[in-house]
Amino acid sequence: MHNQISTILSFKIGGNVFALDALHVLHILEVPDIITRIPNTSDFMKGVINHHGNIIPVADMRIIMEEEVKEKNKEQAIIIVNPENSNEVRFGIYVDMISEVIEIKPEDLKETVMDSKRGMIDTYVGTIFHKGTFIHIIDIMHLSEIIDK
Amino acid sequence: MEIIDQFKVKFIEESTDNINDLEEALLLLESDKENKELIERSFRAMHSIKGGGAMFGFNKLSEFTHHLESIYDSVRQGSIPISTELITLTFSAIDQIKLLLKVGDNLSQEDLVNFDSSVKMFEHFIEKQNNTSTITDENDDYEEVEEVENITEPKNNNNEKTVLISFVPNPDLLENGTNPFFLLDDLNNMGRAITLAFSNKIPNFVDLKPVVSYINWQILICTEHTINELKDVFIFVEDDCELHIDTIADTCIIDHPEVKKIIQNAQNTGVLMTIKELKNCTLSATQTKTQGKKKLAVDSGKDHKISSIRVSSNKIDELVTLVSELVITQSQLTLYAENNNDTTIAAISENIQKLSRQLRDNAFNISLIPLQSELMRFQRLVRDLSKEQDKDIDFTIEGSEIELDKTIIENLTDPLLHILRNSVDHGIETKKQRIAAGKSPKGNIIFKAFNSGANVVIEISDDGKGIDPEEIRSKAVYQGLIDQDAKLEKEEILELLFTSGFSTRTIVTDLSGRGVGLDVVRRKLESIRGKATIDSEKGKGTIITIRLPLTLSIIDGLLIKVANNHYVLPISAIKTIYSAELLREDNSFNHVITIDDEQVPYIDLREIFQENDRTEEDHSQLILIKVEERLLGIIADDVIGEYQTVVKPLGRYLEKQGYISGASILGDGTIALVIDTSRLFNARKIKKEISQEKSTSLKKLLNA
Amino acid sequence: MAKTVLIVDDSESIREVVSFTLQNEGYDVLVGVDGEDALKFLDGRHIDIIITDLHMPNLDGLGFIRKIREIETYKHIPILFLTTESQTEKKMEAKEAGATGWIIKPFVPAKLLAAISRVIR
Repeated sequence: MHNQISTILSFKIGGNVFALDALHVLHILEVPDIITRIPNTSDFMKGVINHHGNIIPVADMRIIMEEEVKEKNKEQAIIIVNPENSNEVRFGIYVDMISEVIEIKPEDLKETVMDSKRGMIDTYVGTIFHKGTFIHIIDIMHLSEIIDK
Repeated sequence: MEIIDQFKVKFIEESTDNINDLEEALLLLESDKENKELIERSFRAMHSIKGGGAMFGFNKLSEFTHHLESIYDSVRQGSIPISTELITLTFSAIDQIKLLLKVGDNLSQEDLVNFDSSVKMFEHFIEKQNNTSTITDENDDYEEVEEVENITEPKNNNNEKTVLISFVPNPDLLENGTNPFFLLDDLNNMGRAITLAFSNKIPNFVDLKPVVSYINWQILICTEHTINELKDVFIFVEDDCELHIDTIADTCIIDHPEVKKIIQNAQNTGVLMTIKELKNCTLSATQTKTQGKKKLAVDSGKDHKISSIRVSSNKIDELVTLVSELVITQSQLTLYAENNNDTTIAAISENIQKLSRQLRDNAFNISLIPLQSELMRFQRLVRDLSKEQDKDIDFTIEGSEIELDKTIIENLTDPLLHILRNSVDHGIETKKQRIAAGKSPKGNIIFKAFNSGANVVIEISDDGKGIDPEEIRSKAVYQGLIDQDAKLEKEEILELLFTSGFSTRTIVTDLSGRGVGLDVVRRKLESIRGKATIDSEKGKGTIITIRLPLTLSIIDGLLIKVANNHYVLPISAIKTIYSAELLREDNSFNHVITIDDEQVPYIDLREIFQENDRTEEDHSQLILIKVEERLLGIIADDVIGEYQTVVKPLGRYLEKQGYISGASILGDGTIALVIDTSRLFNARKIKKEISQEKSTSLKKLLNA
Repeated sequence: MAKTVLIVDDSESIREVVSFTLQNEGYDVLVGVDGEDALKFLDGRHIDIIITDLHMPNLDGLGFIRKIREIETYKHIPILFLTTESQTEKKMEAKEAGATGWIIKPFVPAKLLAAISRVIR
């Protein structure tokens, strides 16, 4: 399955670069002024936003990855994804910066080795080395499970 | 076949309707076994499933239903009576049909065994009937369908023979729309044929009448089909023609030089070939038809005008979403007009508001479906269970026309089935027990639905043995759910049935399972903002009442503010709004406030929602809510006003949080969260425990 | 000019398959959900052929055909039965009622089209 990933969207969280299968990315948004907090949810659950009349939950990737939560700035963004390709199941992830869209070949994909294991994600699709940087590709389903807990 | 595939989905939907219809007819037939209309209805449902099944690639389904249909065909003809045995057999067949509709032709090994044994059951049934009546061999009958279907495919066995067909149409043949070429084409499909047209009767052009047939035909054909099959081709015209069909030889002789000569001669002279010429023996005169003319009972059927169309539920969801969008956009326009003092736009906006409200009401109405759609399953369940347990039960349904939101109905079926199962299993006694208790041997279960304000109420009552509160009480004590000397009202004891600790296995056997899974029922109902209560009298019966909202997607709400967030409370739950002055220290203690001499517990939403503590500068207001006869005070920062709102789901990722049942988009595009008031009462319980245990980890408990 | 076909069947899926197939071939299609419903089309308009199911509520195929044959305009219109029945007896009944021919279900589109084009050219 994962070998089928051919296009990824990369983004920064703290000092690391991560990516998601671009096929599951629906929209990239500026961080809105208001994210409505939902009481009694996990720390990483930032709240919900109104996206074209739909209520979309937003998870803060910086908390999931145990990175520093910086003040809101213009570079930050919310990526709306649909892990199951269904309109019913959508969520947004709050990232520090959007990097780029990259075409990848299956042979570029190497096993992920994280220097120090941080955060709640413990498996990755793989890592590519691109323009001098390691990009760790997050398994969207795995991320979905974490948020669903 | 790709065209066909597109219609498969439709066929499945339609068959599901047909199955429902069939089940309904069967249930009615059970008490009215002679009812011709119901028999016709059953037959037609089977017939449609069989026909469509073959059309859309459900061959197993078609084959299976054919067996059933054949039996009911005999029932229609009066040769097999409707019996309880047949109805039971049919019900089990329906289960098989449902499975086949689901899996298509891909049967597992196990399914195949079931399939075969079901077919055996039919055969056995027919055999038994055959002792008293005669019906045709169903298997052969079905093969015939295949044969006709595969008409163009030559057969393997070498039974080819030569047949001479002489076909002399009466002049008025064309009058019923027959085109003789159609018949000749059919013959050509049945074997190798030489067709001769004899046109010497054609008049001069001026006398030629277009609706009059002038041509005679002779066809010499090599075919494996039987004479009867060849005759069938002419079945629609045989009264309007002279037809002779005769076997000339047991092999194909049309390539024989002698035969070719005869053909040539006939063509040249315009004189019909004779059988004598073609073979050395004469044949008997043409047989006349021998069919018994049985009049089909005129199919009055059920009075069922198509007054509705089928729309995919996705389309309706989309419509509802779009209309909700429109309502929101419209309120933005109103806001804009107000802020800019633009009277023209304000006027237009007002009109749009009226229209969009109407549109919205209509759209929501579309998504309501009558309860009826699910009732069949309930009747089936009660019937099957009571047969199984040899109980005699009258199951009455009232208010089947009551409409509810599709999502509600979808989530309602399981809890209702569960409750009904309890009623049959544990409510209604056996005939003996009932007689001993001085009751009629026939038990009653009544399912009643009705509208009550913005709610729909469903009551399921039985006149069975009821529940003994003492028994429940002692079990609850044994389970450690309540104290030995706790003073509980009957209501409170019965309420224990809904708590999850209560319905454990050990209790099940002792209490004959009454109350089993009621906690699950309640949870499931809560997910659709429904609420179940139970009342019972020992020896007399039990009634379970379920209250449901009409729709999940729209509520009249009260907009309030807590810290930075907006929330919506359903207006229906609100009793009174008080100024926070009531919360004076002399008036409130340990989260209980005295209002009009009544002690009412209260909670602060800031606390429940884990916001910063309330400071002196913060506003506060006390809102008294009433849910299911229980009162609760809640403290919010501000009450903004009434607000009719479209409730949107929070989606899967936020399902598990505590108190929010949905979200609503305000005129300025921001989000207000809709509070599930009934769950606030749970917060209060937790609150109590906390104060008792002096625990501070509220959060831990809330997440537990 | 496109030929007009009236299809009468109580099964929605069958109706749709038949109409789809015929419309694809350039026929104009009228659709009735049962005999009674279909009678509304017999208001004097031009119809080239009628294809009807046998078992239907309200007015079944046989009754429907008998009604058609009573109407002067449609006395000679070709009527095909579309049915799963293949018994001679059933065909006879259909014929007596005034049917022109029959098509056995299940059918493939090609077979349906062939049957129709044999009756109307």
